[in-house]
Amino acid sequence: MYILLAVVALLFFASMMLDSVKDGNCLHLYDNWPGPIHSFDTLGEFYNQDTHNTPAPRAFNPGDKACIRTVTGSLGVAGLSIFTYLQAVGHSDAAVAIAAKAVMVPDVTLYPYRLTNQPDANVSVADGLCAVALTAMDDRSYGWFWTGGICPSDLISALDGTFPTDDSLVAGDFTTVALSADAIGFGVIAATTSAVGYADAAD
Amino acid sequence: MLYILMAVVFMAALGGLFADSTKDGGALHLYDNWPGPITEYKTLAGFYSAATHNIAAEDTFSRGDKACIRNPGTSLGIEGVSIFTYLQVVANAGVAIAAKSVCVLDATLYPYRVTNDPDSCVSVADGLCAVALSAMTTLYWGWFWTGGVCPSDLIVAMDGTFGTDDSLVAGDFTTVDLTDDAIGFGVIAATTSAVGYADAAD
Repeated sequence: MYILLAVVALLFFASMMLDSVKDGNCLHLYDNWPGPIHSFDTLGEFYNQDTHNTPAPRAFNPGDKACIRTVTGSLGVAGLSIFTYLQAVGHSDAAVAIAAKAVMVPDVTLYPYRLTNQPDANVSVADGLCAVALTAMDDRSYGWFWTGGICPSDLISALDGTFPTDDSLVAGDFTTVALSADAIGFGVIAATTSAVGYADAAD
Repeated sequence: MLYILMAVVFMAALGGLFADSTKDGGALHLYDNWPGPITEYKTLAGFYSAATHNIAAEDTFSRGDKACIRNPGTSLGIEGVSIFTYLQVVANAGVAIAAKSVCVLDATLYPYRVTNDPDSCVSVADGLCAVALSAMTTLYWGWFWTGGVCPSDLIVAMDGTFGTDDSLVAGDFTTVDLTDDAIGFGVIAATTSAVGYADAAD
């Protein structure tokens, strides 16, 4: 009897802390990265193999920002997406590689344009700066990240679908949170956290 | 005598608890909370000069104009974008405005007027702050650091530390009232807005 009760209690607590997901169409990022935005007509003008996921910045500088408008919205919604050129830092234990849709925050190595998907080695999870990877990224490589506006899933199909959350998301402002799965996702803001985006509905 | 001694020790302890502190500008990054388009410049002289900074009336630039330039970070500070906004300043009667003075909206209720006086401002811990680049004359106009990395490689007077209230933690910070009649940076609370992001605690 006691064993059964313990199992039920454990299952209850596990469900309380279970991560969840939210469709990218419902997630809109605030444009919190400082800097002017350059507007482009096509993705290929700034995002390609020569300038994305490279060990050193080439055509762009860390902190450069670009934006492009999705008109049709065959995947996702129509609107403006903003991107920032940043450096990725991989997991020191390589437990979770950086892939498309990885949610990242400023890395603990203290350079403002350096991001990590590591929830245990960052400056602070629930603050105003976050970026979402567009592809798999190598450790210390530079590339473009989704940092504002609507999810660019119509432009980059790898971003279509759901993004990780901690099952606390409500309609309205959200911030970045440490997930139970050794990753960073989105969750509800608290008293001393800053919003990184806006959700249409709860997760 | 013993009571006096105890009181002195108690006061010293309290003073220690609330003592101001500092944080290096290389670890402080301001959010770009001032509304408006940003004009990019290749050189600081393109917008910041004796003719356009700390002057009695707006001329070449207008209130709320914003400029940005990359701080090289090769000699001082770190590499990145620094953003500046053209504002009017009201000086604190007790503390002159100098380079690195942290300012917030002045109590005279004009949105582009800032002050370094914590006792005569709209509200200390809200989303708009501006940091002086030089000594400023009261009611004069000029450029202020309002976003991005600290421009210490461009303006040497911005190199070094900034005032904090010893509450700063890694992450978001806001503007706070310091003990020495000045405004600095401190940790955000429930009803305050972030003006920037710190790499580490002060």
